[in-house]
Amino acid sequence: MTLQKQTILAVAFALMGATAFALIHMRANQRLGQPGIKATPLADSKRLNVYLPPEVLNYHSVAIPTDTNVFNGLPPDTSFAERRYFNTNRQWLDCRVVMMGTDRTSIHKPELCLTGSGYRINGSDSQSDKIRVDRPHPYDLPVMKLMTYPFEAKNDRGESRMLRVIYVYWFVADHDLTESHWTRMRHMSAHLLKTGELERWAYVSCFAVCPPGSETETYERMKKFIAASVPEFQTAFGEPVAGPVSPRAALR
Amino acid sequence: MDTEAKPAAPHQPPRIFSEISEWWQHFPPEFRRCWQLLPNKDVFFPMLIAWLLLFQFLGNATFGYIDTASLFWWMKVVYWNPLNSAEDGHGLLIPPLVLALLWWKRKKLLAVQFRLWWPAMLLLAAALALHLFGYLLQQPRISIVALFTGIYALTGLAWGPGWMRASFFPFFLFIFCVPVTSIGEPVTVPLRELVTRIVAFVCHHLFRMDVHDEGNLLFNSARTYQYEVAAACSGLRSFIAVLVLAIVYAFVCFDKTWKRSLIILSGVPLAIIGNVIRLMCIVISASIWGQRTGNFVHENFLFSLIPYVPALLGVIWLGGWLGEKRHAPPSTPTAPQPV
Repeated sequence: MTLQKQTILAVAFALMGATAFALIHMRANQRLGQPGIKATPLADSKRLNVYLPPEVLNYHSVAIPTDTNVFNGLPPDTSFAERRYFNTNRQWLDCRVVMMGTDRTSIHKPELCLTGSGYRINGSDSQSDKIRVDRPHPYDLPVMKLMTYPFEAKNDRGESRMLRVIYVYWFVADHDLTESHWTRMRHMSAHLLKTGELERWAYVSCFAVCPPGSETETYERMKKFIAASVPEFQTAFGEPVAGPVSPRAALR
Repeated sequence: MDTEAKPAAPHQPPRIFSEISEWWQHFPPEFRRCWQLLPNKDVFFPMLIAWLLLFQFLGNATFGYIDTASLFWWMKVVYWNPLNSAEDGHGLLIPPLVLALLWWKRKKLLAVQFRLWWPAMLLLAAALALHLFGYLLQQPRISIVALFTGIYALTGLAWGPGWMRASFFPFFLFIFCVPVTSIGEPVTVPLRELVTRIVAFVCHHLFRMDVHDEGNLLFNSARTYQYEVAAACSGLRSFIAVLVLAIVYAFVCFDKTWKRSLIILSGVPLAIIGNVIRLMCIVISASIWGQRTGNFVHENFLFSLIPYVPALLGVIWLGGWLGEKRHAPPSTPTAPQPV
C-alpha cells in the first residue's frame, strides 16, 4: 500500500473517530430543560407526576389512567396526566397532558393521533385561535381548534345520535408557548443549537363532544374552562397584552 | 417419401428463461472481470466498513418508538411501518435499484480516469458535520442524507472526480431513501383535496353521476356510500414510484437535458391521473353496486396497481414521441490508470 493510500485512510478514520467521539459525548451530556407545567418527580421512575387541578369553575373531575398501549408505546420517560371534568349540567370534557423526556418523539402531531383514533378532521372548520388567560397577567394563549365531521355514536341503551368532536390543543415548554407543531420543532432546534439544552415540551389538549349545531356554545364553554384551568397547572405564560381586565381579576 | 412419423420436437422453454439462464451464466465471470479492473479497493472498502459501522452504532438519536442506535434499523422499521401502510416502503427498493443501474453503467464507470482525490475529503467532512447536526436535532432523516453523501464522498476519495461525475446518476436516487410520509402533509393534503375535486367533477359533470365532494369526502346524495380520501389514498406512494421510474427512464434513454426534464416532470401529472382513475373505479363501482363492491375495489391488490398503469404508459408514450437515444456499441474498458 502506498504512502498516499495510507494517509487517506488515516485521515478518513481520524475524521470518523472524532465524529464518533463527539456523538458519544453529545448523547451523554444532553441537558433537558425545565417543563412549562407543574410536575414533580416520581420515585423509581424516569417519568414525572404531572399536575392537573381536580376542580375548575363548577367542574369536578376524576383521574383517567393512561392506556397501557400508550404507556408502553411511547418513550419510557414520557409523562402523562388525564382527567375527565364534569359540571352540574352533566356536560363533560377531557383534559390531557403528554410531556416528553429526552426524546422528542413522545409528542406527535395531534392530527395524527385524532385521526388514528378514528375521527375525521374537518379541515375547513379547524383553525388556530387565542384564548385570553388572566393570570398571572393577561395574555393570549395560542391554541389550535380541530373539529371533526359528524359521526354516529350510541349510548348504553343503544340509542344513536350524531355528534362532533371539538379538540383544542397547544404546546408548552419553559418560557415558550405555541399552537403550531412546526413552530415547536423550530424553537426546539434553535434552542438546542444555541444553548445545548433540549426544551422539554408538553402537549396539552381538551376534548369535548357536542351535537351538530352546538359547536359554538361548546367551544365557548371549553374556552372558559381553559382560561380558568391553565393558571392552575401551567408555569409558562405569554407576553402581557393590553385589553379589558376580567371582572374576576379586578376584584383581587 | 419418408412416411415414418418424425419424433415430436422436445418442448422448448420460453425464450425469456433461456435469456435469464444465459445472463446468469455470464454474470459471475463478468463480475470477476469488473472487480479486477476496479482499482484502490484496499482504500475504498475499509473506509466504507468504518462508515457503515459509525451509522450502525451511532446513527440514531431518537430512542422512542424505534429504540435503536442503528440508523439502518430505524430506516427498516420506518419502511415496514404498518401504521402508515408502508408508504415509505420504496426505500427498501432504492439500494438494489442503484446497484443494478451502476452495474448497467459499468463499462462507462470503468472507463473513467481513476485516481485518489483529496478534495473529496471535504465532502466527507461535510457529511460528518451533517450527521452531527441531525443527531443533535434528533432528526434521522438528516442523518440518512449524511449517510449516502458520505458514501459518495468515499467513492470520490478512492476513484476520483471522473467516477463521481459518471456515477452521479444513479447515486442521487438515494434521496428517495429519506422517509417522507410523516412529514409529507404539505404535499399529501393538497393532493388529497385536488384528487377529491377532480373525481367529483368528472363523475358528476362528465358522467352525470350522483357524486359529491365535501373536503376530502366523496359520497352520493342518499349517503348510501361514502369514502374519505385519507392520507393513504393521497397517491404519495404511486407518486414517488412513478417519479423514480420516470427519472430512471429519462437518464437511461435520453441524453438531452430538456428531454430528461420533460420526462421527469410528466411523472407528476401522470401520477395524479393514475390516482384519480383508481378513485373513480372505487366510486363508480360503489355507485352502481354499493359500498361493499366499492370496498372490494379499494382493498383488492390488482386494483391497487391501477395508478401505475396510465402513469407508466404515459411516460413511455411520451418517451417514444420524444425519440429515445440510440445506444452506442459498448466500448472495452481500459485498464485502470496507475495511482
